[in-house]
Amino acid sequence: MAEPLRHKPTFLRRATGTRELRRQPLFTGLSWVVLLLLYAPIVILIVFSFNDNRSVVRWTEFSLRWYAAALDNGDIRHAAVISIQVAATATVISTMIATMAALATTRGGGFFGRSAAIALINQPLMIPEIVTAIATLAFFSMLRQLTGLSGLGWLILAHTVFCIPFAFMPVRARLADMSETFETAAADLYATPWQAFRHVTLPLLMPGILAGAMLAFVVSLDDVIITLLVAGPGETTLPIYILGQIRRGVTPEVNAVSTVLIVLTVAMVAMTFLLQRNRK
Amino acid sequence: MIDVRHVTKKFGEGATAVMALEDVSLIIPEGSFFTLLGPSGCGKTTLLRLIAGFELPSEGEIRLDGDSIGHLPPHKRPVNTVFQNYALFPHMSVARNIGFGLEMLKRPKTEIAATIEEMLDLVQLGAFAARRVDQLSGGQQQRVALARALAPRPKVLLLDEPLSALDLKLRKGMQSELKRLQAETGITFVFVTHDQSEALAMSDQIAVMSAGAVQQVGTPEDIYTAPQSRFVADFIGDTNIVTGELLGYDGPMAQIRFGEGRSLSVKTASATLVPGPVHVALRPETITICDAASDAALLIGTVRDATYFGAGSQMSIRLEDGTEIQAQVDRPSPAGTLVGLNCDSAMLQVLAD
Amino acid sequence: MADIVQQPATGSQNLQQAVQARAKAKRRVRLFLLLPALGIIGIFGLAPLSIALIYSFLEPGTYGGVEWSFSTDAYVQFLFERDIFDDTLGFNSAYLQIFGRSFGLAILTMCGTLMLGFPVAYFIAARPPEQRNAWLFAITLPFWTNLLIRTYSMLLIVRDEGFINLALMKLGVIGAPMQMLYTDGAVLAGLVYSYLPFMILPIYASLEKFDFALLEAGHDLYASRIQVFRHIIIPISRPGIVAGCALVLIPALGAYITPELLGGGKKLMIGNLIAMQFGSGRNWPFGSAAALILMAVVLIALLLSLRAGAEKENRHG
Repeated sequence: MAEPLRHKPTFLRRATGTRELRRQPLFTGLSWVVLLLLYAPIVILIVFSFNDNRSVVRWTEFSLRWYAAALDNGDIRHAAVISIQVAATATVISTMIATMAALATTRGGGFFGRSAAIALINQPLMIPEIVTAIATLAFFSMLRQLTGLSGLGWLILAHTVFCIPFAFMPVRARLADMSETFETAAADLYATPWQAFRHVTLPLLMPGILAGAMLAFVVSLDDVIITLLVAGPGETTLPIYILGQIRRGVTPEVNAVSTVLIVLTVAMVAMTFLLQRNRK
Repeated sequence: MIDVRHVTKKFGEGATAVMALEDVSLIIPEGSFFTLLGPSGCGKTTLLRLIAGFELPSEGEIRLDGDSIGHLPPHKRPVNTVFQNYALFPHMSVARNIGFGLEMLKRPKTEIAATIEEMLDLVQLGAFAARRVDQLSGGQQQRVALARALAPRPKVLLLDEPLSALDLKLRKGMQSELKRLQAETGITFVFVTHDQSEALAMSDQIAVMSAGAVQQVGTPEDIYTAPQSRFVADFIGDTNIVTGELLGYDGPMAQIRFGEGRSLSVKTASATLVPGPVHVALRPETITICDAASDAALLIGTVRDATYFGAGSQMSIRLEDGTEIQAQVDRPSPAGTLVGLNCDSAMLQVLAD
Repeated sequence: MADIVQQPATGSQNLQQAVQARAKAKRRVRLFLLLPALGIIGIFGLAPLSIALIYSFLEPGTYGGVEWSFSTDAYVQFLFERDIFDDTLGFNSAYLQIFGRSFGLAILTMCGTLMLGFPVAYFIAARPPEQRNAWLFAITLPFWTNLLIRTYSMLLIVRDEGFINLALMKLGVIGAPMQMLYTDGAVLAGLVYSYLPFMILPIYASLEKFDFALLEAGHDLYASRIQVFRHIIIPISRPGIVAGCALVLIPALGAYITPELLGGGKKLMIGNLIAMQFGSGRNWPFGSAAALILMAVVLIALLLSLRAGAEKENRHG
């Protein structure tokens, strides 16, 4: 009933009671304050990354010197390379695996144990990260000793595990929204199951897969706790580097690196958001 | 020719199993416009999906031109479907949609291009080849769906309530369009609908279905004028069902009497009914009104009311045994009058149940 | 025509084979698609938890790791302290206090996010549809940016030379910087700031489909603004509130970064306690035990929230 009212011209809206009743003036003000509080710290951080001064509170002049310093810092460059290696690999693997699992749980009807399978896939989301982190550390240190293997592979594996549910969500949502008639129509038009997947399901699913991949990438790129405990020596990612620096004290160089990370994340999330909005 | 033999389809297992089709046998002649007609849940769409291969029958056999196809997956059957919501691939152009079947069959590109051209002409969408399907109107999408299903030149075209998403005016146009396409291509059309007027207007033959079984197969005229059962009589058009007394049989005809009236020779759906009360179908437009006292009166009743509908009036009459019947007349009698009802006995039909 | 008599038999044989072949192919494809996900999460998600369970019943190694002998010390240690000299157990509330503080802060965080989040969720749901997406985007965006960086940006504001102190000093309200950093208040503010979107989103989801004409109906039946709120809006958003509380409580209980940076290692929470046992503290069994206790608490909270959600369905069903 409220639906048609929303589309009335403004002068008519004012006359209708529903608009007035639903408005809680206090809530409106509070919402804007909350929005301000959510963004203020981040904005301050970003602004002072461009400050030509060691201080992170007193503004003197616009400068890119902290970005230059960060770029010049070998540790930061190394950390960035590690971060991207881990995030990219974990994203590719987890997105593939999550897409396969999403297909199995949405296509071809229900089956015994489906909700159990979905619950297992979402398991990493239901346990506090610190618990996952120490459990993985204990398990991996045991495996490292047993196999004698070391290297970035372990960290990538740990990231892959918690990236899977994040990649799984948008792919599964997209598949659930997608009518199975398209695959049926393809089969009717002489497409083998593989052809139907290749020419119909996969292209239609692509926005969901991209969204899943971006979420996985962002989550991996941002991870602190699991990386902190699982990473071996020399496997410092950007967030771990930043954490180390913050513990030592506040520097604008950290602001610069943080800003780069924020911009990267925001760009990816915004793209995901647009992809999902345009899926109609 | 499609030969459906003793096909049963059960969904689910054990106590919760639903019987969608029960021992259905049917012959669909080659090159005909064949309609599966029935209310929702009667099994008509299930039968269509079994012919297409989207489901496998629980029992029975489906043959196409003598070859058993009931066990084949859909992509191995020379049968194409026009889906209820068209199911056009939204990420492909109109042309690629139409060429999709041939592309999957790995036909040469030149042949595919030529066929697309030909199909676009056939459905009069020549200018739309490069369009995306979501830029088309409902009627245009319908044509693309038809062209896409016809492009691989299937032996049979299955149409699953394809007109139900269109508005009334467009639907009338598409009805004649479909008839034309069927005549031009000579392909067997199997058309599923719940709309009896659509079925009567388009079909060469109709199979009326109910509760997972075929009730009657015949030409539209057969189905309309000689319904076999109460269900068919009720479902097709407006029908009055009155009770008469079966006196006996005279060759293929049944001898019927209403009340104390004279005996009539009437077509019958069954030659094995026991003498006594039987149900007789009587179409409203075949009834004429006469004087209650006249010899012509087969039935006598009181006029309840009349509704004007333009081409005439619909009169509601209550018979002496309480049955309410409808009659279409030019000039209605005033409510409360006692009237006699007459009808050409060739228009009556004794029902099997 | 002669073979027609025989064909039905072969036909039904084919059919049986086809039905079986289709079902088998379906199962195979499903298994192929599911195995990697279930395998990886099963092995690298679940197995570590069992290892942690085993570790919690072992003795700590001298330089981290474990000694393979059974012991319940890790659990005993929570409440009691072993006297170094006479080996007797004395009650020790230090760890219990950390747990208590964690619960207290987590519950306060939950209340804080609810008080701020509910009005925001309601406000968004009452927006015209074209504005809702923009608001949702604005609310979720900070959530996707790094928690560490967000906490760091909080730190920039509340520390002694931070923005608040600087502003207040400039205005002459205070003469010397207020100590805000490394207090429970700072940790609480940081937690509320971090987890607010978790509260807003589920409440919004439960209000999204709400027909605001119901408010009119309520007022028409002589309900006051507050009555409408209590009897219509709150019950409808209840599933969202329950889900939001669970979504905030769980990560808040296990928080690590926020108390680490804003509590400065003085105001410990369980997360820090656990992490310490795998770092400088070097008591893996005790860390495992603490982690499992935390997990048990979280699971109980999850079950309770599921029950609370289900209760609502029953009442309306």
